[in-house]
Amino acid sequence: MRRLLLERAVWLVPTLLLATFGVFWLIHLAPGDPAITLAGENATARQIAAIRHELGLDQPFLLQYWHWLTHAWRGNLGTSLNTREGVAGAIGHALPVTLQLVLGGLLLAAVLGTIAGIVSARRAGTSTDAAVSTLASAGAAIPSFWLGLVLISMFALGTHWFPATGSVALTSNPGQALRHLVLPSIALGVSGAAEIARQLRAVLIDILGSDHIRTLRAKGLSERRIVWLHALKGAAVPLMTIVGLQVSRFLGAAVVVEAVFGISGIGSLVVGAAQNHDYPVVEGVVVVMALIVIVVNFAVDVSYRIFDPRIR
Amino acid sequence: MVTLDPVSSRLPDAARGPAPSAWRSRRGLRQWLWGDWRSRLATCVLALVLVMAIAAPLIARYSPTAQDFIPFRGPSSAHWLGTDDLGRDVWSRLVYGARASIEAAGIAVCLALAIGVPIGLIAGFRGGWVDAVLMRIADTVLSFPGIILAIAITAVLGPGLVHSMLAVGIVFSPSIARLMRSQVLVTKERLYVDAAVSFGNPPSRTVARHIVPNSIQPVVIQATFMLGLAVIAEASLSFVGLGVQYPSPSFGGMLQSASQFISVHPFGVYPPGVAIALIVLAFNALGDSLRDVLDPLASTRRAARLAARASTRRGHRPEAPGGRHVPEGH
Amino acid sequence: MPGRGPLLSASGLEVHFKLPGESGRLRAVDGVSFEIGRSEIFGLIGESGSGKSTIARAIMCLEPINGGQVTLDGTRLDQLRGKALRRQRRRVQMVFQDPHESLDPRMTVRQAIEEPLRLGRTGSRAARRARVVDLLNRVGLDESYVGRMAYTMSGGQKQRVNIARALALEPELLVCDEAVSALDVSVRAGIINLLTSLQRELQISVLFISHDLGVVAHLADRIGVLYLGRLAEVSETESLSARPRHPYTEMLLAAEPQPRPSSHRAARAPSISGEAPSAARPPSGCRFRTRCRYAQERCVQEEPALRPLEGGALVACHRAEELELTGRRA
Repeated sequence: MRRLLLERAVWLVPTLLLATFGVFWLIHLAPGDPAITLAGENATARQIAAIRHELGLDQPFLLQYWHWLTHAWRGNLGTSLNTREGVAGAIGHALPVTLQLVLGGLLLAAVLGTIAGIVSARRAGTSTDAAVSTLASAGAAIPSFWLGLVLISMFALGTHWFPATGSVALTSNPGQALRHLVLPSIALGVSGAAEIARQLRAVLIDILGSDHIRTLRAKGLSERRIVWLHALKGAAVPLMTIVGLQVSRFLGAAVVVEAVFGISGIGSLVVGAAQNHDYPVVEGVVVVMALIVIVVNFAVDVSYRIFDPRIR
Repeated sequence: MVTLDPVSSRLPDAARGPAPSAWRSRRGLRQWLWGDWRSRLATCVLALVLVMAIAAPLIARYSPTAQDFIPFRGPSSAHWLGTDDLGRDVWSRLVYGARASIEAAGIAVCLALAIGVPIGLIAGFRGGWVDAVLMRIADTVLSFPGIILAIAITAVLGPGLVHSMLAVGIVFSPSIARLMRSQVLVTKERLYVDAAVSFGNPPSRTVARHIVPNSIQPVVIQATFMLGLAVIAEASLSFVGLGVQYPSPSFGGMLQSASQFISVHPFGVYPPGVAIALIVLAFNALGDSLRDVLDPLASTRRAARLAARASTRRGHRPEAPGGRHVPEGH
Repeated sequence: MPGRGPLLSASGLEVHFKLPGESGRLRAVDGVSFEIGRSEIFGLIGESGSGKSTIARAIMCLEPINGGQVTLDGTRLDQLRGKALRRQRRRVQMVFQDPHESLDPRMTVRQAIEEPLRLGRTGSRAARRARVVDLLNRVGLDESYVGRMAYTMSGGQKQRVNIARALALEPELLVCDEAVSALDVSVRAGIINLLTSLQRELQISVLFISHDLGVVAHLADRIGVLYLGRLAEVSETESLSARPRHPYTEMLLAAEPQPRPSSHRAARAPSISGEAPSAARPPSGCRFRTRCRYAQERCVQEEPALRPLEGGALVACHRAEELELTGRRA
């Protein structure tokens, strides 16, 4: 068990190195010289050269990467070209807001998707199943940010049930925070729920057709007990994987959903930075996001190996 | 791979995979585009969108950028879908937006195929360290949230339809590469590949004539689904201002301006949103029916499982799916 | 064409596989030597896992060899690469075990048979097509088959197409790897008779590999008995079945179903006993000793070499001279 953790953890290292190197290289390709941007319009060649030296831009590429990497390891992701603030600090402010939203969406998707998956698997081939499938394919086809707009026009502007924009930290005012979270979470969660329902349905149909379940039926267990207790137990590990793999999608979709709800999280940070050519911020955000996904995938992978006796 | 006993690989014919004639035949095409109500609807939607995209100037009733009318009007006979915040005709913008959307999806998926297929082919065919390195890179790219990586690439390339869709294409390419590789790994072990080698096919010809054609089908199916994803990606990137640039019409850009005035004119968010959803649904439906045509096994297996399940529920034993027996004809 | 010496000779052939997750190597073929004469049918028999298919693949240069040599008519096949190899390998063609798997599912019968002809750049298009029909006729199929796809045919028909394709290049040696074992019993006889008559007509050499001693004995001039990657006995078919010299051969003969229950059936050696040990960990000394009822202390210590006996048979058994083994018509 410890060996397994260690073994998988060792695999993380090349992935992380490759990911950071890839991002660093990509940003390096960007046109324009950050030194010129920083120095302003009236800078002399000398001032620019000084800034270049200060930023280490006059060093060879690999050395630059090495410096960036060692700094990043210590939590220093560089300085924003626009605000001259630390990138790590900016991300530190924005990340909890985004994570709050992603968790809300994920929770909703997991609950909704599991229920829909169970219902359609139990009634596989019936009109209920077909209805759930149709809903699911519609859910997967609707862009989450558009769903957000529709929700705003219906439940924020039409009925004033929920606030249209902004967000509140869960730690400062939980009630307000949840009210703010409802619409964005639904917007974010629906497509994920559709995906979870679709995959869970397939897994459950396989399990329900297995000899193990057939034996339980023969023993006279009620169908409800079979599905909710036995089949779902078998589906728990695949379900965990399915939900875990949604994290990456949710982080991406959250960027656009944030823009709809005027939430100042990672999304507005990275979009603003991308529009203003603030490369250190873009770089920092992408690396942090990749880090989150890699860690989540690692957790999914490890728990999969721990809970599923077949692969070890 | 140790297979010492070829006898153990005996399987009933039905388990061997798709009936490949569907690939080229007219009947297959018909079944794909016109097989059931879903595919018919999807074909109609996409045909309409395609006509809109190609003949936009003829179908749009006004210039998509002319600010000639009273803003925020609802649908009327003069303006089928009303007008937007700057008094532009929404129907006309939607028609041009469809053009941008189709173009975007095409660029992104073509690039994803152009990168992914050769990489997957090389990784699967060569194997060894080449495979290990390429797949490690693919996995790394896959570990970035797609949209965020696309935003970063767009930041470097500069915003715009083509640039943002090249970014999306790059983001899509590793999953194509992975799929292609897994197919090639299976195909290259097939006996007909050995047979081809044994009558003196050089490796390049074996790959081109036997391995690629027998590996590409799932990739084509996947690419069809990706067209839908690319439409959403284009809308998302244009919505946050990194895709199609103002004032050119695009679904994402239209949603952006509609969202600014959502409290004044909530109807504005519906035309582009519904258009996106319809196009994506249509691509997904065609992807599904293409899979049914090219890989009937997957769908018959699904059906057999359902049938088995249904019959156990009723208390019958499931019937074995009956294979057609072809008698020896001589 | 030099008409001297054997057509094909394998000497000290070694093929190893790396076992996944283990440090050891599997010696699938572990020092096998045999020769095939011109116009001779050489049968190779063994249980699954004995390495017979690997030998076929090694001769076809589809599997890299780890030791020994394969010589075709004086040319070392195992040392050839690229174009030179492609030119030589055409002289040896193969009929694979699985008739379905060995036809490209995307090709018609004509395309399949034409492919080797095209590679050989033999003749015009019309001439090639005529040759396809001629080959089809030879294997007992008529012209109507040219447009058919593999999956529309029965196993026997497919195997006939495979034979036609293998004969297209006019090979000097035809390797049949379990060519009939995937077929229904009722179809087998037809294919076997076809192979026999084709061999007689074309005067080609055949390496016929099977796990079924009855089939091999029916066809072959000489038989090699393979056990766990090594030859146990090589002998003329007549003497092998009448007077086996290796206990393993005796066991195989005893396991053969008899056409009619004979009186001395009861007195015969017991049929197949026990399972073959894994080739990954062969027993010490004689590999067969764990299942041999004549095994002695010496068989544990010392591995018997394949050595000639009087009468021309080759056998790898310490006790070959002293044992009186029972054959088919003892």
